[in-house]
Amino acid sequence: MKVCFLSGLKDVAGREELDIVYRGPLSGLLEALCDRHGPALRARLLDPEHPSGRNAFVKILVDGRDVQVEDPDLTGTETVFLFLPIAGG
Amino acid sequence: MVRGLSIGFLSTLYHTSHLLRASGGVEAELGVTCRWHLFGTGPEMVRAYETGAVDLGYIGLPPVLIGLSRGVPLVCVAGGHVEGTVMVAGPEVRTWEEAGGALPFLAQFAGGRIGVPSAGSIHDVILRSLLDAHPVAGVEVANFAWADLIPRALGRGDLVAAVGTPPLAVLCERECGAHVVIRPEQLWPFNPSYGIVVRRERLRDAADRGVLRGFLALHERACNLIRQAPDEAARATVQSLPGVDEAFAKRVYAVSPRYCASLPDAYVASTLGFLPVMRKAGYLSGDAPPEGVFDTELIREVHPEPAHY
Repeated sequence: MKVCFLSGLKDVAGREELDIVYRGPLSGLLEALCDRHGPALRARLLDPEHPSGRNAFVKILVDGRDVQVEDPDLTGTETVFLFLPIAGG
Repeated sequence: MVRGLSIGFLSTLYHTSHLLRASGGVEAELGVTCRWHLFGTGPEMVRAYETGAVDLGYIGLPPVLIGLSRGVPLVCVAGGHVEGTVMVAGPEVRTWEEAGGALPFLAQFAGGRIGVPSAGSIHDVILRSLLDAHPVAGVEVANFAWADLIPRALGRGDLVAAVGTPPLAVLCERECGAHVVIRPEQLWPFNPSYGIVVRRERLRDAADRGVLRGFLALHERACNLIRQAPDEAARATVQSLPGVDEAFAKRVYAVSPRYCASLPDAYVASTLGFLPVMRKAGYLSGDAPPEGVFDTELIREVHPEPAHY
C-alpha cells in the first residue's frame, strides 16, 4: 500500500510517500509507522489519552474515505493519506 | 438554563476559532460547555447544521446560501474576514497583471485542472464564476474534500493551479514553489471569506442571545488581536494547530489582512452578489431568501464603530 504524509507530518516523517507491505487494522499500521519513523511522528500522530488513541486533530483518509474514528481492516492495496489540516476549507 | 455550544470550525488559521480554542475563553468567560468539531469545507459543515450537530460555526457565506435554499435554518450574525480566496500556480505561470488580462491569463491553464475545495465552497463558486465569465476550452475544476491534498497534486503536476485560502497559498509556496497569480482582492472584492453563522433558533431565547453576544465579543477581541498584534496572535494560534509554526501563521495573516467581526453594508452586498452566480452554476435550485441571511442586531451591539476591514 501507499502511505502519504502531508501537511504537519511530512517534516517529522522525513518523506512524503512510502510504499509499505501491510495487512491488518489501521491502528496497527499507525503503530508500525511510528516505530519506523520515530518519536516525533508518534508525538503528532498518536495520543494515548484520547479514547481513539490518536491525536484528534490528525486526519486519516483511506482511499479517500475519512476514517477518523474507525479502525478498518486494510487489505494492503489502499492509499492512506495522513495529515494535520492547515490548508483551510 | 444556558445551553452549551456545538461549534463547527475549519482549519483556516486566521479564523478566530483557533485563538478561542487555545485560550479556552468561551468556556471560562461565558460559563458554557463547548464541543468543537473540525470540518474540511463549508458544505460539509452545512450538513452538520442540518442535522443539528452544529449550532454555531465559522463558514464562508456561499455554503450558507445553499443551506438556506434547502431550508436549513441558518443566519449570519457576524463577519470575520473578507477576501480570503487566492489563486496560486507554479513559478512558470504568469500573474494576472503579467499576462495582461483575464483571457490570456486563463489561457495558460487550457487543458489543465485547477484544484479547489468542495463544490459549493466560496472558493469553488468564485473560481467557477471566473471561468464562466472568461471561458477557456478544456479547463477543468477539480474539487477536494480536504484542501491539504492540493499542494501534493500541484507539485506532482496533476493540477496546473489551485484556488483556496491564504493558508493553502502559503502551503503551496512552501511545498512546491508556487506563487500567487491572482491576489485575493482581484478575484472577488470584499467577498465574505467567513462569518459566524448560527442555527436560527439560537436567537430566540434571551439566555441563548446572551451567550451569543458574549461569544461575539470574544470573537471581536480575537479579530482585533490578529489585525493589531499578528505576532502575538500567531504565538497563540499555533497552540491549537499542531504542525503549524509561527512564521507560517504570520505569513498567512499577511496575505489578506482584512479582519473584523462587523457586518457592514459592503459585506452584505458582496454576499448577496453571489446569488445570481450560484443560481447560474446550479447550486441554488430556487430563490434563496436574501432577507433571512443576516441578523446584525447582536454584532451592532458588540461592534458599534465603523468596520475595520
